[in-house]
Amino acid sequence: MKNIQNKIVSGCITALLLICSSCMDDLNTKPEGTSLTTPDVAWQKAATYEELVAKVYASMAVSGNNGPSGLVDIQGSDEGETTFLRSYWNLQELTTDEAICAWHDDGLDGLMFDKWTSSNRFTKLMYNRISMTIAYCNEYLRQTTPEKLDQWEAAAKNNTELTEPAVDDALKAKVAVWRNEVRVIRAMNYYFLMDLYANVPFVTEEDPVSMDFYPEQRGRDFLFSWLEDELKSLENHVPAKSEANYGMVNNPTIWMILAKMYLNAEVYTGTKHYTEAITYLNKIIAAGYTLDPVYKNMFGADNDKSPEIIFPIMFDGINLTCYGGTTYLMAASYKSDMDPEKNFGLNQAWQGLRAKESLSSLFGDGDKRALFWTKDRTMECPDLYDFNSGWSVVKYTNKTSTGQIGSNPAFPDTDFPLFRLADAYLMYAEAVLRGGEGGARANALNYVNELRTRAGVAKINDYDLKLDFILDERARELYWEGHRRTDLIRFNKFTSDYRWPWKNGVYFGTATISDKYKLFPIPVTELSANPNMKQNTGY
Amino acid sequence: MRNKNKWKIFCFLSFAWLCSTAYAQGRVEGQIVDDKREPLIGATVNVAGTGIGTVTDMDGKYVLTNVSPNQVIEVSYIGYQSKKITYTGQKTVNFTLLEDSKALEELVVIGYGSVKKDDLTGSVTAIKADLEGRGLAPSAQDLLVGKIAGVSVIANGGSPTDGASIRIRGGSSLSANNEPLVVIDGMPMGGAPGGVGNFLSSINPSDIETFTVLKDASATAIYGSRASNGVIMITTKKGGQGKAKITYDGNVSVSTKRNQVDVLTGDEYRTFIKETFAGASNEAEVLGKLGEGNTSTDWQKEIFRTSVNTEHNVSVLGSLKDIPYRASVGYTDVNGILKTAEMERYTGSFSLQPVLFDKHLAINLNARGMYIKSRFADRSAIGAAAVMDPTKPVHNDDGTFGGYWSWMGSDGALIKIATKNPLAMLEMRDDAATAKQFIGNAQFDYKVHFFPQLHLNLNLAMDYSHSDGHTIIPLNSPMQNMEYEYNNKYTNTRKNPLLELYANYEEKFKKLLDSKLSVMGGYSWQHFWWETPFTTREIGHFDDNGDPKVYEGRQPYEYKLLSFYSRINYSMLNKYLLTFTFRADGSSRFNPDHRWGYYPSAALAWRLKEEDFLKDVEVVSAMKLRLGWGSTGQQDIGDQFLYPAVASYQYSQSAANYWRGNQWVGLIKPLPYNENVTWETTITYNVGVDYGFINNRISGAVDYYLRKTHNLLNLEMPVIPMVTFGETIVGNVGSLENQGVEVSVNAVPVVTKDFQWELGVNVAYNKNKITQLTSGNSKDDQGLPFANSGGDGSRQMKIHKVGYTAGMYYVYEQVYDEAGNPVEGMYVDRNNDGQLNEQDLYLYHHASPDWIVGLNTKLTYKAWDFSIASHGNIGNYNYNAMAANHASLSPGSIYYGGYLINLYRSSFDTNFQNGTIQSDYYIQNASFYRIDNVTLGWSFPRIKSLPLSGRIYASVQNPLLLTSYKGLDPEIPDGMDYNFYPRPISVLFGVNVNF
Repeated sequence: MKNIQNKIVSGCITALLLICSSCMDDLNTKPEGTSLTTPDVAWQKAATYEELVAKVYASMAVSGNNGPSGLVDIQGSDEGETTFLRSYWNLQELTTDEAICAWHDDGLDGLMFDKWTSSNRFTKLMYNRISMTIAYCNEYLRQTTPEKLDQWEAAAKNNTELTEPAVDDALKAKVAVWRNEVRVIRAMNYYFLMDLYANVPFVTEEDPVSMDFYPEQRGRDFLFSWLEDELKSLENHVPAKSEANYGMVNNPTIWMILAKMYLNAEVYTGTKHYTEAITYLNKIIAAGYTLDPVYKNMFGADNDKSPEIIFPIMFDGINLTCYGGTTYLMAASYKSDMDPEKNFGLNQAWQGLRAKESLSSLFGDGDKRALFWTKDRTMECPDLYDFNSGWSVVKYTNKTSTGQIGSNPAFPDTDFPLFRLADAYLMYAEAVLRGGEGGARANALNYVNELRTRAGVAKINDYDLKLDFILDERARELYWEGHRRTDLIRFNKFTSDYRWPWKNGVYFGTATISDKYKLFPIPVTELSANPNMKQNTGY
Repeated sequence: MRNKNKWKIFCFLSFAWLCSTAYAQGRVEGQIVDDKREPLIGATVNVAGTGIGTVTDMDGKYVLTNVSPNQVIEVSYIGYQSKKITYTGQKTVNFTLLEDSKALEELVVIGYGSVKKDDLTGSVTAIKADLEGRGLAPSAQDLLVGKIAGVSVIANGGSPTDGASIRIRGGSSLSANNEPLVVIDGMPMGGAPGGVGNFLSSINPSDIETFTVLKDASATAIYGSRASNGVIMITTKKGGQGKAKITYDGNVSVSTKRNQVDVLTGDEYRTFIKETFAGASNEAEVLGKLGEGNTSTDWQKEIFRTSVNTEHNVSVLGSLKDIPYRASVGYTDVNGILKTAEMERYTGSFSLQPVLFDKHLAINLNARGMYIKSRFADRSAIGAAAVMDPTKPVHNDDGTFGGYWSWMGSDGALIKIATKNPLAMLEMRDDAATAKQFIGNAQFDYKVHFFPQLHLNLNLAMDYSHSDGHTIIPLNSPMQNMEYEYNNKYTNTRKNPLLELYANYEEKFKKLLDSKLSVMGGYSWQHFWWETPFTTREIGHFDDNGDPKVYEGRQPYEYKLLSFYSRINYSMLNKYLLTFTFRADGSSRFNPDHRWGYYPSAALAWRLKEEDFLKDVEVVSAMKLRLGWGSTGQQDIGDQFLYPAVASYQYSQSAANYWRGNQWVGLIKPLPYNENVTWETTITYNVGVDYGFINNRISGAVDYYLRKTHNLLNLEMPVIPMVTFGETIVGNVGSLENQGVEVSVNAVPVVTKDFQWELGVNVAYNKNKITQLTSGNSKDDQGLPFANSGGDGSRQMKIHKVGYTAGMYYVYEQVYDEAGNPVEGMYVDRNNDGQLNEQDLYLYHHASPDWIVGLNTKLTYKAWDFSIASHGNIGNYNYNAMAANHASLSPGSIYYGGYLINLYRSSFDTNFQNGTIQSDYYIQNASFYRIDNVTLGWSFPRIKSLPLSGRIYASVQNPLLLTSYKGLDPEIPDGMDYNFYPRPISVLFGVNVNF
């Protein structure tokens, strides 16, 4: 009896152990399908190498991996708000004398009144979006070093299941150039971080992707000199400027970032670099761009044909759609009484953004750059939440230069001109006025007058060429293009010396506000995730 | 020969003499029936203190002989209250036995086995599914409402397809799943999305025999990694004995809405608009926007309806050649009170319990199938109906937009941001799905030959479901803004097989302190696989036929759970009971370093009643003290992070490309992941007393518990986007504490021959506190805000903060004037810095209740029965988002963008011009007491001319709600009252017939 019992028990235990051991390594599962894949499989396929570059660019345009919404990159209550342009534009324009918004969305008041706190939504959205783009750049650079390329090539050769083109020498040559494009985009994004937040984490492809890695926080001095070195080393190693390469970074893009850094160097590092600014501005001006004969064509559906745009953020009504980007700049500025589909090519009207009198009053009669809708609107904006209080701005449209509507009346084809030649002209003039060498007053005057002639207004004399004039002319030429806050800070008029409607929360405006507002706060979530980070002063 | 004859005669005479004396001395016979007049077959009839006893036959009849006067005849039957009577010479004694639903003296099903209730060491409550007092219960969860202390069941809304939020002792998680584990016939359900909504709706309530709820860790730890939120075990009805018994259960009910939001009528609105815009610059424009004539539309009345529902269930049980079987079919047709909401469900089940090899092998075969057709109503129509202009007609004259009146702009086009016609939102939306589910299991219990103390148990189960759905909104629906037709089709297939193998050994050592020992050890493997192929349409892209280009993808997901578990039960002197359990779980979701979780538990029970000092105390019929400690885990992070610990890349779908030189190129992006993610662990301490007085006429339990959760699974743990490709990822950070008290009292105050009154009350108190939230220093922690306020404006209304209850509302403190009215935009400057901004928000109340109370009572008089079931919550607060988002009275808020919106009458209480969403004025006390249903029934017995017995009944569901809450319904699981589908009031008539 006992014998049988013992045999039964030992039999059971053996059976149990057998089953157990076979099932244990069952426990390693990995994703595979048409939507998800793993890095070791993806990098064996040739297509991945350009797809991640495309993502790096697209991260500055749209909200995620599906248009107009879906598969979003960062969290926001509205997917459109998570796009680069929407937050960047809000931070650069709503905080200035150029624009206001009629909505009650959380965080907008803080921006419009220049009274934001460290929990402001848009500062967090901007910070996260730029961080993501940099993270994507780093991943690309991490996985495409020459050693890694050899590794992927070998793995692809051994992979019998691979049905798509694999890594080969031709691809490696292209990847070398693509890596440089990615480095420029990364540098551009660090530039924005330096301008907006100053004290940010610094992460490169040398750093691991790990929950246990806490990057160091760096300031403007470090970033400025790193950007100088990085951008200069990339010069001449990026795609050439050409029609075929529209949308890709090129030498003029590199020069423009450097020129902006040098022009603003007094703000960033306290030292003057106007001479270096002029060096690079001269290069841009000699690169072959010309002023677009028709101002408004640069903001229409076929602005990819414009001879003036140096670096665009692209959008397309069929292939690259979102609820932020230029969709936002247009739809938020339209109201149904403007008949937006017929007049501007877009059938969305969200009634939010419009101009303040501090902008609209800068234009003289006949200035072709004054693209406003004034019917049933007042120029003054005493009623913040009333869309009719303040002129509507119709600078951005989805109509081509010949008056046709873009490919889709619901989403625009219009690209966003991040850098363009007119900006270089005005920067040149400013740098000369600020004492930079390598330029001439006569040239500066000519450039300014070229812009004014294009705009259909009278030329100015050498006597009128002063810094305050340049600030106003920048408003007239470059309004609503995301430059204003940086300009006002550089001219020392952002936190003092200049009051505009609604500054500090009152319609009359208070000229002097705390200097802390020259920087945006680091988001609270970032501070809790990374113990190395300290908040900017005053927040 | 002569001797044989003499012997025969002698025997016969002796026999005759014996019989006559027997007859003369104590022969009693009778019949034993239950309260439905059904004969009880196999009931035991004993004469106390003697060996005389018998068992009732197929007609419930018995005969006893040799019963002496003053002896006591006892009758007992499993699941019924025993009765006794003193014999004084009666010839016939009949008994009617009542069901013993409260004292379940027989076996209680616990994890991997069953145990006598007396021997339970953990906090376990078992109830029989009370179908008599249930009213309209299309889903099994409705049978649990208010029945068990500490178990809160809140339907997510009044829609027939709404699931429920079930909480046992509050929640132990912040962002991971707080729902308990549901085990049906030994198969743990869920763990993967898909299927037919919540797991409790996949079983027909008529098929349920008992619910067993395991509350503390010493009971739940045997389920280890999935049991931190408690376990609800459902046992389905099994086969019977003998001739087939057929039962039909059917009912018809009518449902209608209880209340609606108080908004202005057409005429009131006209008056208001004329007054408000008198003299305004746009007066003419606005007055021109009012509807024609005296049209007055009650939009809420338009979108709701009185619906008729019905349910039919037929079951057959019996045994065929000694194999018990049960088969049932059911049909449910429930129409929601919101137009277009419908659900039709067909269920079927079959079970067999053959016993082979001379009772050594018991087999339990179950199969259940379900087919559901649902149509989902767009519940944002509820909010739209409250703000739609009451001066407009429902339909237009020109047939545009499907014939539904819609707001048009001065350009002749639809105003896209205007309120949509609520009826169009419902009727022009085809959002429907069909789902099929099959759940089957085969369980083998083998009592080992020559070693009967050892049982081997094998359970093989499969949960398969497939659902197809589509959402189609045509181009001419106002919802589509004349942009494109919305056409989304989805399918989901899910397969979850399960294999469990365990061995159970029992031994008694009578000589060694009367000890009993049982040891169980086992292994479990469960695989979760699901696939949701998707199709999306590319806007503006067409294929060669001119049809919109469709992008298709297939993405299967899977994960596996592997477990080892064991339990030791030891009892000594029938007074001291000890239980130890241990479980190890491995999940494929986590990396090998973090894969395994270990969950031990220990419990001690002391049967005070068996002790000398209580043994003879008549008043006390049961008294048991329980102490328990245990560890359980949680790893249900839902379907948001499917491979959370492994690096993965995601391809782009439609309209997301970038121009590269000469072509559009698709995108690929790295997804965030956390290589360290692992189980969340909860440790529970429990002290409880099970008591019974006066022969268990009063019984119940009192429990106190403390639960500490650490390594909280935070679905939105903040990380550094520049490093990990996202700003939040699932991670383990933080800890939470939960404690409370539960008291339950079940009493039978009156029992007489014809009248019986039962009463059950349960009260539970629960409080939780977050003890850690981030990996950094808690003092600096500003907390994690979440929970959208609804509507426009997107404020985050709740926050998790260390030292406070989870999910408290995060609001400004409203300032009131002398009359007690709130002053718009004025809040208390709580930090006294002279500025009013986000730093002045504070934590104020929470949605979870402090107290949950359940009260059930049943009166039986002869063939009549009357029962009331009710429950209440105290201390829960809701955010009245509907009122908050619709409080603005300023002209700019009412007429904006070319269209008019109606007003809530409650906005005149506050007179806000621009509204104030994040004010504590809108955090309103939602404590309530609700009578869930009142039922009256009459049972009719089997009579000679009609070979059937049964019961007819009527019940009213949700007849009474007592609350001071100003919104429509105080009982909202997360407290955010926005577009909540209201619960209807229903009247039901039903019949139950036994053949």
